[in-house]
Amino acid sequence: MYNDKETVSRILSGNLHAFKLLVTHHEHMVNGMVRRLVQDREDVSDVSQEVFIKVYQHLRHFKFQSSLRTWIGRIAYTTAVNHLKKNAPRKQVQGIDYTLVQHEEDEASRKSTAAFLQAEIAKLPEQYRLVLTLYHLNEFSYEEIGQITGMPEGTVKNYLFRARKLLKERLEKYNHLL
Amino acid sequence: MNDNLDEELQHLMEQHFKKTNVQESLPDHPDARLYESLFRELADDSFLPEQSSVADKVFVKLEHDIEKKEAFRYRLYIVLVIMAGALFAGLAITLVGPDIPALTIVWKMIQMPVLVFIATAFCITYLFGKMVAGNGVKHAR
Repeated sequence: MYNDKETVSRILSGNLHAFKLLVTHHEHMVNGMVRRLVQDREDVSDVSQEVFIKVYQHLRHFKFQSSLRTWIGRIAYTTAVNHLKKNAPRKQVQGIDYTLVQHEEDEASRKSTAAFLQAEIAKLPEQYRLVLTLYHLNEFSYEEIGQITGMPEGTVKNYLFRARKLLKERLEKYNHLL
Repeated sequence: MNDNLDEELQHLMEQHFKKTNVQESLPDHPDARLYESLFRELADDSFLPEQSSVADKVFVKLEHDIEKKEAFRYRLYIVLVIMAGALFAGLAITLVGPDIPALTIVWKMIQMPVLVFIATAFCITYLFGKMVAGNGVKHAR
C-alpha cells in the first residue's frame, strides 16, 4: 500500500526506486494538469519529466505542511506556466494552422457532445482550464487549488463559476444546432 | 439567465457529483440538465490524449545524473590523492635531503601552485555538486 510519508523517507535515504513509485502514483494528476495547460502534445512529456525532477531535487525541503499531492501540484503548475511563458513567442512565430484546428474541432463537435465540450475547454483561457482540471479531474478542493495556483479562494470559485457558465452556454447553443 | 440560478445549480451539481453517499436530487430544469451533462464531461479524462508513463524516463534520467556525479567525484578524488601524494613526497624529500639545492629550489617552485591547485580542486568539487543538483531539469528536457 502506497504511503506518502514512508515513500518520501525512503527517497530521502537514497532509494531511487521509491521515487519511481512516487512518480507512478502522482503522474496521472501531473499529466492531467500539464496536458490541459500546455496542450502541445510534444511538450507534455518533457514538462511532466521536468516537474518530477524538480520534485526530486526539492523533496528534502518538503515538510508535510500541505499534502504531498498539493505540493507536487504546485510544482506542476509553476513549471507548466513557466513553460508557456518561455515558449509563447516561439509558438507564435511558428504559427498554428487554425483552419486545420477549426476543421478538426468541427469534425469532433459533430461526433459527440463530449468531443465538443473538450474542444470548447481547450479554447478557454488558461486559468479557467486550470481550475476546471484541478477541481473536476484531479478532485482538489477550492483551498488546495488556491495553494497550488497562489490564487485567493474567492478567485478560484469565481473562475470556476465563470468557466462552467461559459461552457454551459456553449453547450446550450450546440444542443440547439443539433 | 441570472447568475443566482447558475450559482445555485452549480452548487447543487457539486454536491451531486461529490463521491459521497448523500446526493442532492437535481431539479427538473433545462439548465440543470445542461450542467449535469457538463459536470459529467468535465470529470471524464478519456478525451485527453493518452500519455506514456514518465516514471521510467525520470528514473533513467536521475540514475544517469547520479552516476555522472559520482564518476566525476571519483576522478576528482583520484587527482586529489595523486596531488597530495606528490605534495607529501616533495615535503619528505625536502626534509630528508635539505642539502640538495636543486630539490629545494624545485620544491619551492611547486609548493605554492600546488596549494592553490588543491584549494581550486576543492572549490570545483563543491561547485560541481551544486551544479549537478540544479542541472537535472536541463538534462531532462
